[in-house]
Amino acid sequence: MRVAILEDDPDQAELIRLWLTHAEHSVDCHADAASFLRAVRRDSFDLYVLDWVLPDLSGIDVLKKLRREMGDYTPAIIVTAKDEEQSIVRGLEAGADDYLVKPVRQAELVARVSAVLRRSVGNKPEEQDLDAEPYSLSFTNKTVSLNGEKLNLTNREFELALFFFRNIGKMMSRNHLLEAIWGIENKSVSTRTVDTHVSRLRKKLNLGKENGWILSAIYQHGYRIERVDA
Amino acid sequence: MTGENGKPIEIADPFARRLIGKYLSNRKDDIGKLTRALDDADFETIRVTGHNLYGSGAAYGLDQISWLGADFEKAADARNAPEIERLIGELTDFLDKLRVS
Repeated sequence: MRVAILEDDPDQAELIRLWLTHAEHSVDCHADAASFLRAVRRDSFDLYVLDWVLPDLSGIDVLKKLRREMGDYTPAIIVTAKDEEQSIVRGLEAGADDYLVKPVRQAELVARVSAVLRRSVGNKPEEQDLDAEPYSLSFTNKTVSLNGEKLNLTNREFELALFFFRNIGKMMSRNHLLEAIWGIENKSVSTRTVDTHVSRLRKKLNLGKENGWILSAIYQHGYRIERVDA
Repeated sequence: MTGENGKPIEIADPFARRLIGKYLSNRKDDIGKLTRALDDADFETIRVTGHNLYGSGAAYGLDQISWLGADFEKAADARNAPEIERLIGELTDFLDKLRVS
């Protein structure tokens, strides 16, 4: 999964980065709110880990901005030395999904990250089939049907379709798609490949108003699938 | 500073062990930063440095650095210069005597 971290102390950021990378997450660290907000505007992530006390905006201000101004509901964990009950309540009320008091330890942080990510997909196993009328996606057979009729997709196109339908309404960056579908280690694939596959998928699924779903390109950022009135 | 029986403090977390050299070098830089901040009565820098020491120390397996960090934060909030001077001495002493494995 892709995790964006906002932590101004480079020693803590580096340690957290190593922990989460070892747990097979892809990690993007930022030392100040401005840089973090720029990153989440141009890219997409599965989880945010936010420090509270920062040199510019506080982690709470960043969270409020994400939730209230940017409509970004990516799960977020506040990691801070503030351990009073009032602070914990403030963090959760601002939109945090979990709250972790510093000093953090590897096992607990990794477990909390996994728990929040599990909750964010509604505790559904990755292998579960998915219905998005008039489409249905069968994980077992790796097929997508439109109004009950099976469509002819490659495995990669199926994975891409499944990923989009699991992230309805959320902008998914090209890099995020590359990591999720082609694998984080695959350096031989460029974002152009993503564009080609998305274009082919759009045609094969016949995505458009007539079927109630559109897959929009977000200029210089990525793609978003949304339901529309047919 | 060593652990019980004069043995070096063992850094259990393999990732922290990998970064500990740089971490301790940065803490030595903190001593200079704290001393200059105290000279300038810049209590905010002392508070932030203490805050970061508190957050990072135990994560790196060095609980004493976290405790000192918390004390720096408290002393900075109280603008207690003599206490900050004493804490700088304690941190210096701790880092000078520290042996890790």
